[in-house]
Amino acid sequence: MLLLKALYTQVAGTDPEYAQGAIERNELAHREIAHFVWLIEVPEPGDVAAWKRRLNEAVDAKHGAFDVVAASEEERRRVECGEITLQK
Amino acid sequence: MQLKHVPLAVVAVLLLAFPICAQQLEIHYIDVGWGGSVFVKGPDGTTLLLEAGNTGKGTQYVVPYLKSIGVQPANGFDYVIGGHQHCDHIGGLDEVINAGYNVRVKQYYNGSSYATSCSDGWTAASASTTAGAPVAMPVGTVIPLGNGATVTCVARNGAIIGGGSVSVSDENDRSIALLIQYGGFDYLWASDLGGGSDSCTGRSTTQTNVETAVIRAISPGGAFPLITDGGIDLLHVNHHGSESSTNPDYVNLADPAVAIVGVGDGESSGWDLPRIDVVEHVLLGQSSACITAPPSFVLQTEEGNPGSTLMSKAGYCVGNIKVTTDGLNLFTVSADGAVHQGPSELAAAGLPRSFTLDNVAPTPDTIAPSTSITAPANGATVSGTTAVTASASDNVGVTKVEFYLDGALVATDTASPYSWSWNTTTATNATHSLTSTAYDAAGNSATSSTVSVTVNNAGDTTAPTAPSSLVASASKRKISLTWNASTDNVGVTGYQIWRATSQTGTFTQIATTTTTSYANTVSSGATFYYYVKATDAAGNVSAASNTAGATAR
Repeated sequence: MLLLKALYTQVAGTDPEYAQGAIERNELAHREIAHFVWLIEVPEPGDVAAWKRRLNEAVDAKHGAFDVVAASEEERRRVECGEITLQK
Repeated sequence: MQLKHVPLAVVAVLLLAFPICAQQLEIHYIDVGWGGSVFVKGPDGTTLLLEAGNTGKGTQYVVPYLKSIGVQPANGFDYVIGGHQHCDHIGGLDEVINAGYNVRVKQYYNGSSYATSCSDGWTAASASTTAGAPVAMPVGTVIPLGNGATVTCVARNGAIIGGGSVSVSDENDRSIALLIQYGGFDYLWASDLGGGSDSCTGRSTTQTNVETAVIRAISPGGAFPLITDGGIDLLHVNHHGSESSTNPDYVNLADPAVAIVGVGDGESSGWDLPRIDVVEHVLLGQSSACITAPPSFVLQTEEGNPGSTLMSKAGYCVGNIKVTTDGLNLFTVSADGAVHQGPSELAAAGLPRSFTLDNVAPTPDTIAPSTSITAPANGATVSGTTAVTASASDNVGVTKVEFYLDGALVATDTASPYSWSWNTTTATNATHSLTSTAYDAAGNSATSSTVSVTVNNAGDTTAPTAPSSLVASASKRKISLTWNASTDNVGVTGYQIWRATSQTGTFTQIATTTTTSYANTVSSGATFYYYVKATDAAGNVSAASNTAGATAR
């Protein structure tokens, strides 16, 4: 499994819950580590473009959009040592 | 359970035969597309909202639907329950509450630590409700819905009613499971509860099998049997028809006549719900090596992702679904065909359709017993301790007979012959009324005609017989008397000794005794004449004995 980071940009005035719903819809272990920033655990090969597309399929563009990048070394360490607990 | 489609004509005949409308339980599957929302209204009007779909769906679908069935914001709800914390189940709850729907009694959630903006939103909105923030629903909680209908929490967060448990880590597997029962009707709802991987149908999932533990616990022979061998009538298809849920054991034991899938609008590539390996293989019984239950009638709110090769198209897509039952013989399923995505298959589904309950409730006993006082007779005079007896009969059985004296309950007898030993001395010497009231197990009762009796405990008015054979014997300065004892209807308590100086003189009582002899000390040479009278406890005095006289030496 790989650790990626999803970043959500909200369309002003829309409900922020749409982002969480989109994360959940992909049934990934995840944790919001900052407002609109989630660490997500995805199966190999963990292509960031593919996961950006999948997340954006789960949210209406009129509510917001996701970008996906690789998680940092520090974020991976914190997950591995249990400082950040992913939930599913 | 057999698929029990009952022709509408039969339903009409039954309705004509039983024109009095019984109180109804209503279950509404609100079509929120991808997500879950069920509204329940009990026979007494108690209301529950189970979830409200995803973010946006509370405003878009739940509130308009509730208003369309007459549930206005001012009506509010008695209970709100979120089966688990995923947004597609609780994301719309804050929208419903913020639309003005108060929650009066309680809000329940599954007690997990899963926290998101959706659960935060629900909690924040709850601050404006009477019930306040949601609390973890205790397993075993029973919510009465009136007329005997109940909602029972049979599982939550891995804990199973009856004491069992399953170790769970996935939020779906932490779902609350509810058994809603009314008379012979059983409905099992469990949000997104998991059924585990299944080697028989070949399904694979990371979710845990909690379903089987739940259905076994509530089935006959289970740790907390709530349903009969007939299983349940209406099954909520967990997790929108995902391969993670609805395992063969669950369906075989649940044995539903109708299964409903909340699924649809909003589905996209990669989401293949409801799955063929759930609907066709399990619910429709095509995996014959695994499924022993007869096929279910499968309804879904929407079609899922039409482009998927894994998605089932065997269920009927019918929009908002309404299930009603009086709990006696039938439950009826109808829908409005308001499908947002895919074909509306309302006509093909043949709705509305009625199904016989697998556990028909017994016909209520409405016939009252009959009873009458058999003793004492009307108009009788009674005294002392008197047996009061009653006869009682019933079409099913008499459970008890109560005895009333002047309208006050004085005794209860649960077995025939029904009787009460009445100590009449505790009552006034007057006329009193006696009645009996008989009951049966259904609570029917009837009271006898009144029997009037007169209590007479005024006392003994019969005097003892007169003492006889009184003999007076003289000795030195003493005259001794002996006599034969008297008799009395109650009992002689003593004798009075009367004396005079001549046989025809004036007699004066000089003593009393409880024996039949008396020695009178007198002066030497004195002559006296005597007679004796007997007395009883009531103060009655007998006639005088014969007169006897003697002269002391």
